[in-house]
Amino acid sequence: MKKYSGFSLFKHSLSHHENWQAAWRSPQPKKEYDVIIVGGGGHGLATAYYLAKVHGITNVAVLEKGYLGGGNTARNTTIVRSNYLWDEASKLYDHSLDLWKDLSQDLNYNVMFSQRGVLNLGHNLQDMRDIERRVNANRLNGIDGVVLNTAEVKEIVPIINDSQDIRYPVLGASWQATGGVARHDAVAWGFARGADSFGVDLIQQCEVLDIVTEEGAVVGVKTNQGFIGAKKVACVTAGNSGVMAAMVGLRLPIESRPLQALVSEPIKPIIDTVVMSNAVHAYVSQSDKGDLVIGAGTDSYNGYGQRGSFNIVEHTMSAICELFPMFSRVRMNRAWGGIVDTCPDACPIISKTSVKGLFFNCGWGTGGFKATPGSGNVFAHTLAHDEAHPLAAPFSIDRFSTGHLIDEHGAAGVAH
Amino acid sequence: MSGFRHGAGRLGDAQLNFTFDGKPMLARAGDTVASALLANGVEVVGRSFKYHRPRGVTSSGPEEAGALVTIGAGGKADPNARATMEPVTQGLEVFSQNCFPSPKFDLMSVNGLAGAILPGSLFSAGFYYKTFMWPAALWYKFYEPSIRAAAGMGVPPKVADPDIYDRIQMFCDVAVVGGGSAGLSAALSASQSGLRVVIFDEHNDLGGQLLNEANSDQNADLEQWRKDTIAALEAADNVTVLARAVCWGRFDGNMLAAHQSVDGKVRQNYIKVQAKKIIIAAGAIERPLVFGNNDKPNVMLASAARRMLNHYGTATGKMLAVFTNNDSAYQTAFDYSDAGIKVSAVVDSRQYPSEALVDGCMSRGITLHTQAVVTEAKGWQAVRSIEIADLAANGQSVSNRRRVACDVLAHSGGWTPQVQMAAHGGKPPIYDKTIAAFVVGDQAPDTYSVGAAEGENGLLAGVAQALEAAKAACAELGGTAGAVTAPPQDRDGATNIVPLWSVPAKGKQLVDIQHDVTAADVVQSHSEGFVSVEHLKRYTTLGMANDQGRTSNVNALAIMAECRGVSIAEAGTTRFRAPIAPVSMGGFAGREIGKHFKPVRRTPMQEWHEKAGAVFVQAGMYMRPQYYPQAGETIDDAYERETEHVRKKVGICDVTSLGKIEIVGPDAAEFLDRVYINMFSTLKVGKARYGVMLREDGIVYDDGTTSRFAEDRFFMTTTTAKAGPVMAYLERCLEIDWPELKVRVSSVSERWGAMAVAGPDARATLTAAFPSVDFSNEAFPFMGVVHAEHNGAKLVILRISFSGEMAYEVYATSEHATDIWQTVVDAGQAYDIVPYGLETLGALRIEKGHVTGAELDGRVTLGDVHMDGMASKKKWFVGKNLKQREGMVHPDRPQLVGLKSVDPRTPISTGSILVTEANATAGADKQGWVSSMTYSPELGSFIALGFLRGGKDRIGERIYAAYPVKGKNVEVEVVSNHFVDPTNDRVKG
Amino acid sequence: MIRINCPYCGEREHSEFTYGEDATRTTPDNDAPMEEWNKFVYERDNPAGEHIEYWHHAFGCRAWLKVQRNTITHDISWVGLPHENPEAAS
Repeated sequence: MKKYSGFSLFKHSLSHHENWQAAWRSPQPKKEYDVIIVGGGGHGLATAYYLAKVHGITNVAVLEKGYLGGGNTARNTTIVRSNYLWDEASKLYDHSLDLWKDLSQDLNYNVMFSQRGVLNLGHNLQDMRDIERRVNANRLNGIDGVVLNTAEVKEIVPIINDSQDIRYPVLGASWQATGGVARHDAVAWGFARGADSFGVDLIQQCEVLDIVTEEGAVVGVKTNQGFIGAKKVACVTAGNSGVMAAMVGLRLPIESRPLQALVSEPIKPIIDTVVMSNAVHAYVSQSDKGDLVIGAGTDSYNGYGQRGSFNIVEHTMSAICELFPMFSRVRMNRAWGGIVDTCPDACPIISKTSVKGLFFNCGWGTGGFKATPGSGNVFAHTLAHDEAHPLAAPFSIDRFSTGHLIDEHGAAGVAH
Repeated sequence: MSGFRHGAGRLGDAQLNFTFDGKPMLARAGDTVASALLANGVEVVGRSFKYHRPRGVTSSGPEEAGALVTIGAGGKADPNARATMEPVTQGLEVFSQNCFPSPKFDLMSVNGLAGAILPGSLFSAGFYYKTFMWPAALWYKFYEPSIRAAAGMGVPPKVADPDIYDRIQMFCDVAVVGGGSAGLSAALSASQSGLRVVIFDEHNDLGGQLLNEANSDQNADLEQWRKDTIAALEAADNVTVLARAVCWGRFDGNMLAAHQSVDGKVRQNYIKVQAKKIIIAAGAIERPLVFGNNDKPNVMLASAARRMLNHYGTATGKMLAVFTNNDSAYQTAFDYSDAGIKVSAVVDSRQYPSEALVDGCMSRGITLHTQAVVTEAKGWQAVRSIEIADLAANGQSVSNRRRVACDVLAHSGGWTPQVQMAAHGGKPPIYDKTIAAFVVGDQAPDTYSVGAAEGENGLLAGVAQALEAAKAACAELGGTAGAVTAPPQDRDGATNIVPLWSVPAKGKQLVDIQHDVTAADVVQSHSEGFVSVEHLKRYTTLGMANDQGRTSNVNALAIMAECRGVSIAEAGTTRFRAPIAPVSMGGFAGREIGKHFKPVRRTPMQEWHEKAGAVFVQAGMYMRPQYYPQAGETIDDAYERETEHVRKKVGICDVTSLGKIEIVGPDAAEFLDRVYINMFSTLKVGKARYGVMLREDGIVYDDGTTSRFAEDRFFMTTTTAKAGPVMAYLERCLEIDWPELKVRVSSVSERWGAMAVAGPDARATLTAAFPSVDFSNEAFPFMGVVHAEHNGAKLVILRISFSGEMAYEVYATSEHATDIWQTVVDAGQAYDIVPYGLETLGALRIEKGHVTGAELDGRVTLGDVHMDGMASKKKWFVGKNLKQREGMVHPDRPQLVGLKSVDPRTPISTGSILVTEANATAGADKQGWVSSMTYSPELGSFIALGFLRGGKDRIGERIYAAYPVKGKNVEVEVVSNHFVDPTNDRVKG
Repeated sequence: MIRINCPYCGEREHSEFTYGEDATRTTPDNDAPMEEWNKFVYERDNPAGEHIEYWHHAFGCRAWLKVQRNTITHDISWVGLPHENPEAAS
């Protein structure tokens, strides 16, 4: 892999940038691999990278039915934080946050991870009680966090509407200073380039049509480019996980819902941090290009169309104008949708299945982006050792039958 | 100074004054900011995003990518406004953007200098991914802030928007998007069927491309046709004409969304139109050509230069040159020449333009260069000459470079049908090689794309398509479209285009002039493997600026297709999504801002509380009294006083917000047995019982008190928050799960006001208030139900206690509730009755040990709150099966406990985490949390409720409530959650 | 938006309704084994394509409806009452 740097930019600009190497190869699939990862989004590519880098397993293929990173990774609101309520969840997200910190250097690809902090607003007394409990628990887990009052929130976000006379006044917020945002496409491309440099084959436009098993064990997958053999198949297909599971007669506790987001046109810097509000169902940050990046809640119905109903966006716009009355004059420029795989307890499923050699990493719902490196990292361990990584163990699919659910609906931060 | 005012165009004489960066300018009514600026000789309007290159007017419509300005100042500032769409009004203030100190002399243009020195730009596509990583700390401290500081275009206002926006919902039979010749014809024809028609157009003046035509004698009949058609539409009762309305989205179910600019009190209307049939006559916009410095001010689309002259009376320059690969741009040259403006050249990349065009040039003395291209626009700030060259036969190289003078270059790379609206909802458009453009092809149901929007540029041919569509649409709705007069002249639609996606010469060739993305960036993207159009867009950011790639997308994907060696059809387009133009957020909020963001629910006694000086707090959709402070009291003073008062004397509290549901039918008892964990079929008539419902997964869902009024009639209460959801849940059970049960449910939440009367003197108070009722313990025992009447009000009185004192809940029909409240208050004067609010309600119930939503948070089981004993073993109920799961009955689960502060004066904070260490730090074993807390006047101590691992076996233990956020650790004793009157003597007395 | 043809009220926007989720579940017997109840409460087909689901006309007539809708295109092909079925209708 040719190294990127400021000097290499200068060197290439002397030759009109015509000689950059392809960021990754476009190989033909081999007949067989040790591991096949189905799904070339952020989590799948991260899994491939860590399998190769940490566990030395490089005879791996990532099969992506579209183009790399083109699903939820391409269309989320890029928030990174680890301030969840329960130990199991916050430890997993915090592991991910640790990996984020050095990710650009690790991948030699600037993922533009910006630790500009995340605010979760409270608009009524119960919100504030929940916030206090969550932040206290975070601190006892070694995760940073403070509880702010209205005036302190205003100091961080001067343009926020701090009037106590509105319908949902800002009473305070939790603040995780080490949280922030990252460039979503860059994460996918960085992991892709990294995995490819270790010899992992990234096969795009390759759709898995069936998972083939013999005597209860995986032997490979049937794709639109033919059969590819493997003893381990890992499905990292987010909203399409149910479709994959059905191929082996499995049913997951997952429903795929539309989730929408939008950006404004580029404006000069006006907000430096991430602001999230459950009560008014909106969250906002500003990209390095100047766009306001705004996320909404999920639509209530199942949907695979990567689009939702516009009344959800309308409501989010109202909420944004509530919190930031000057944004009323700013224009919405692009809106889009994705498919999120929601789980009954708003926590993921990182698990073996009853089919030998078949693993699933899904159910991240609306909160998957922040977990991209962490998810890939622990899932790679699970695949390599055929045993759950300790941080992944609580998220086995068994928890639904045993009753050990980890309910993170409040901390998940997005209206379901 | 190239542009100038030339003739009237179609505008009147009325003069207007406006300013640009403070400089006074003149305009005429009907001018846009762009046409006025050009007429005042302004060329440089702003600076581009990345390289800070000078920017001017590039178009005459919504596809404007160069002339972005800020209109107005302060709270009314409107950044990133397209100068071509903003009408000039008297006194308008217009400001340039993204430049300092001025558009002409911008300090940041040094970004572009790097480009002048290096053959390829330092800031090529994706450059930021390849650098800014070392040293690691500098990314956040320096690199990123520098990037951010340079980001964005316009400056947004920093104060609240003072303008008003309205939301309007409309219904119609046939919606027509686009008011050009095709749209106007379709609308008029459809309106004659009597069906309801709505027509949208983005501009103030309807007519579409007809407005490009010279306002001359030869065109007088055409202009008259346009005016007559518009007048007929405006006069028709069944037609709504929405001008200045951007129709920006088409949604499932034939819903259209638009933002309309209006003048007056309201700034914009956000209009949603529910249509049955949609005719998309959105027209086509011209594409630029890609050549060196094609972003220079006064390089603009040929049709724009033409409209400026013919409609606005603004000549865009004193010497025009034209560069084209198709027929349509010639008319610009001819119109300028006929208006007496010098045309220095027409440069046509094709080898053999038609004879008519060649003759048209010859007869006007215009030099025509065929099989030639413009390699570069030259001039310091705006174009002053062009370098042209001959194009090799194979189109791969140029030769014989020479200069031609001009101060405006009008170019045309072809026409792009506006297919966005038709493509919303998923079907990708298809590429038509003959016109080198994407068209819809496969129409969505109930949608018709006609005219230039579907690739038909001919005037009469487009109108014919539109009339066909109107006929079909009306017929499907059972109506007959009318016959309308066709335009009296035709315009040939054939452009005879020969695609030229980029000029084969080195130089800074812009593809996306908003984000400064060059043709070289597209090539580089390809060499790095970002070859899908989605990757190309995300890697280079092209098409992601305000103009949404309207003038750049097709050129870019064509260049990528060439790199890949595939057809354009194979390269495909990115997905089309709403909005097709940027639309202000305020429109979506409409008037539902501030206090109107969500409705406030009020109880019948709301005014009474206001007059009594209550301080209110949000409780769901209600604003409930939190406390009633007396002179000088803080919240703590108030609730401690109220709490003590209720325990010693009597208090009254408004509990109207509780959900109330009537359940009626012969199977009503059986129904309740299924939804509640405990038995209700055994409840006697005239008695009430506390009930708990579980979710099907065994988690506690809601609790309340249900009374039996008759054998087949029950009255259920729910918590405030779950009033709606429980109602829907009960309806669901009856309609889906157990349709065999003969039960009806009815929400009566709004039917009854409700008040709790609690305290040792509650009985005496109510006896005085309602003498007709026997409140003695024998006649009206604990958990009894009594019906009564008083002054025309129906009353239901339950003897139940949330507070732990002797208490009653009095339900009165809503229209009488305030009277009944007042009756009790009046009767209670003798007993010193006080009103009490939510804070006190909370203190009382915490002392008593009752749980509320603070404990029942959707994650606890019956066992967690010591209610498993309540669950009947004799019957099945919802949740019975899954509540037995191992994880749900695990002994390590946190269980409800009471907590008493070891130092009675030290408050225990809610949200504290329970630990066994005195100074818990990171890594401490978290054993539970504090869910509710209060000062207890009765115990003279701070107390709390919480959950503790294995709590019920740890009574007496001393642990700590850790609050690391404030560095506090409070020592607490684990006690039973029933602090006050654990044997219920007071409530049963 | 998605238009739902309520048998009582006529065609209305889906925002007048609340989503009632999967309508293909069959409730196990009260005393069925835990495993069956677990599957019932948690497992879902969650298909990409035709889906039979409930909608509650909460802001209209309050009827619960069964709807057949394609989860990719959002096209609704059938609406009926909870105990009716699309096949029976055709």
